[in-house]
Amino acid sequence: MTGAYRERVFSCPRDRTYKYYLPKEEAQPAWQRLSEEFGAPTPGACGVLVLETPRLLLRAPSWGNPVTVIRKRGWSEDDVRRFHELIRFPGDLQE
Amino acid sequence: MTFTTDIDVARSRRLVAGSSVILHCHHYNSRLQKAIEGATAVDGRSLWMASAEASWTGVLLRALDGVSGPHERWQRCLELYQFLGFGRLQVPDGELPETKVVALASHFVEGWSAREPERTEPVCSFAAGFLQAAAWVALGRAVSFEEVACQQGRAPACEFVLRPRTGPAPRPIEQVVARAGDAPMKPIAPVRPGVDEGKIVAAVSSMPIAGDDRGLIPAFNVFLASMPADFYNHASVTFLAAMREAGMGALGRRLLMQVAEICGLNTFSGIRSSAEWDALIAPMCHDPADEMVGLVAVSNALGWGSWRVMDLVPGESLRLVAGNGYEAEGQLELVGPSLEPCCVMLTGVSAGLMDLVYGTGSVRERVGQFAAVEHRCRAAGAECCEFLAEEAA
Ligand SMILES: [Zn+2]
Ligand SMILES: [Zn+2]
Repeated sequence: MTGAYRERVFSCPRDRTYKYYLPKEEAQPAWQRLSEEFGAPTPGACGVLVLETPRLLLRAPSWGNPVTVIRKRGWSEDDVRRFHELIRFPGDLQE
Repeated sequence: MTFTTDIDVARSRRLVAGSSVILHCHHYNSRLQKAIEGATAVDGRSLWMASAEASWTGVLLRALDGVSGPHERWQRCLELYQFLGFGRLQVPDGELPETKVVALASHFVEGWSAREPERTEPVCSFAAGFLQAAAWVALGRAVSFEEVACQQGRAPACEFVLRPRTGPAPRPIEQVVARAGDAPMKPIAPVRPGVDEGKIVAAVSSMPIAGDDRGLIPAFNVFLASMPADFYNHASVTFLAAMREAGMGALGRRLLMQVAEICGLNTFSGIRSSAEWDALIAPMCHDPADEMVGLVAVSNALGWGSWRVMDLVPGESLRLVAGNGYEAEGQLELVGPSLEPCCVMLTGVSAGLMDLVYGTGSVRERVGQFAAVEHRCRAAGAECCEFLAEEAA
């Protein structure tokens, strides 16, 4: 059990968007694994780190937490499952 | 895309192609349309359309200054529409509009379908008003456009058919008095020292806010659009005047305030749950009062004019002061001095901010938990506009 959890963000422009809260000590290792898989994040406006995967858009403060996950057109359950594996999110009853 | 947004930090204004623009979300714009077009005591549909046509006529005249050739002029109009976030317009059967224009995406459809997905009647009268202005300003053709199919009614694209025009050609909005001198707020000591308003305004102002390939601006969990300030002011002034004439002035004001209150709730709740908030503003906030000051700082990057939190009694009341709100400026430009306070949008948003920060329940349940009054108004001779939001009786 990692203690990670997520909250639904109500966003009109996007399909199901969630914000993932990671335990403090887990944020950096999680971003390390995300970067190894998808490449390094780039800095966006207002100090937001942005990492665009083929079908997800990840956005977070520079300290990596919380991670807002926007599902891009064509996203699949596999994309979400892989993201959960990388951040060690155990899953919950939402979806 | 050939446009940029110039930020006038001192006056809290956003300028595109020589016109002042105001950022609002799809909930606000479609609700405003519903309030005005849906009013039965006055001809709301004609008022809405007339405001769209007249404001775009002036905006496009400024935007096309120095641009020659019908193709270039027409194209620049469509690019501006897309840049500002209203959607993407195309001529399906050539380069210049001969029979019809289509919209592949629409800011107003996004607004209506979020709230009334079952509605099938066309909702893009604002686009039709834009097209009438563009055909006149870019091509010298006085025509009408009618939306005969709309994505709101499940059509693959909105379709606007050219019709012969009865009545005079489009005219830009006339100003009855000289442009009011903007009076930005003098800097005052921060009410919450931990919240760096200057840093927030600078960061939010630097966000690239422009229409994407569909001509939409998904940001802060809503769709934003950069609306010409002239449109809001003309629509508000002419609607309230018509309602007054029909003996329903107070109802008209209440309607517009309620639209703004709901907008305040929706837009600011989207802002507060955004990654930008997490990265920039959340670290400055230690309690809801800090959040309130942070939200008002964000609004000072939206082009509404500069306003400040003067007093905040947590959970009870909020006093805001605006030095150059766009509504007071618009009233002075379009009509002249007013007998009563006229800034209905900022009044409604003041209540919406309190609903959001100190209300309880879902966003929908928070509507009306606080109520606001504009106690003095620049358009009615005061030095600035002042709003007080308190728990509703
Ligand atoms: Zn439409
Ligand atoms: Zn005022």
